[in-house]
Amino acid sequence: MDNSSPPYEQTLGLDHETLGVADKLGRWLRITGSIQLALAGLAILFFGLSAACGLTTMLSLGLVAALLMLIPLLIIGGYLLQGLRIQAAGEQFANLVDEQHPDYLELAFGRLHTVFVIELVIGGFWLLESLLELGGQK
Amino acid sequence: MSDFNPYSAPSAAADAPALGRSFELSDEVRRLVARTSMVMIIAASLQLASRVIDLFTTEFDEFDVALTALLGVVPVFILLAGAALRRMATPGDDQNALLTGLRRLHVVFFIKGLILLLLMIGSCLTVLWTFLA
Repeated sequence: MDNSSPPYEQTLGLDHETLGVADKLGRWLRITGSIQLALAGLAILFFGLSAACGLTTMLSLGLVAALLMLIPLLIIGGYLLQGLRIQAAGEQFANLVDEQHPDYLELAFGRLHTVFVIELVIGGFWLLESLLELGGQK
Repeated sequence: MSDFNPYSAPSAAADAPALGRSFELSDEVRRLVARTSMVMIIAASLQLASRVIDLFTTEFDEFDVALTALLGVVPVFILLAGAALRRMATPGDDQNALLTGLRRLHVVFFIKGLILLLLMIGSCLTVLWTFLA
């Protein structure tokens, strides 16, 4: 008896068009996630080394200044986590195309939820920066 | 005797696509999709607001305007994807909602992936040029 596929009544029964789109989305999620992961990893390495080298200088400026200078590192860390989640979501969409089990849809949207929460936080930060710039110009 | 008539005219209803099909999803999954779509809508709105403000505060040249326009397309499609997926919060036309949402997400990650790919190639070429020059 083949136990590898879920019973028929547990599959979503997606049509060919949806499966095709899900397959393409999964592919581009994996590509985007992998590249973002690589770039963010390199950036963290670079900024991390710079921060480690300038630690004494940063602390001499005061703890608040030192913490503010670590904000870019936090943002890059956010992009790194986002890259991981984007890649994971792509894998879940690929599994969904193969087996159409509702669990894969849940897992995919769980990963996408994290991706867009990070997007929301970073978007909020950029909006704050834009508003401060607008306020500064006035 | 069977009621099936092999000579009967084809029914339009039988040939019509399966519209309005609802998936067998648990309430938990529907809540997750609804939460994700709401986060998408809010995130896209914040990004769009930030780009609109930047248009007024920053002096752009033609390249910057083109880049901002391209990057502005991404949050628009995130917003549209979130709006489409929000329909899956209640049982209804899940098939079309999922298809529409996934199509728009595909555009988002296609553009993002392309930009990141070009960024990575540009960085590698810059490093290569630095060593060769």
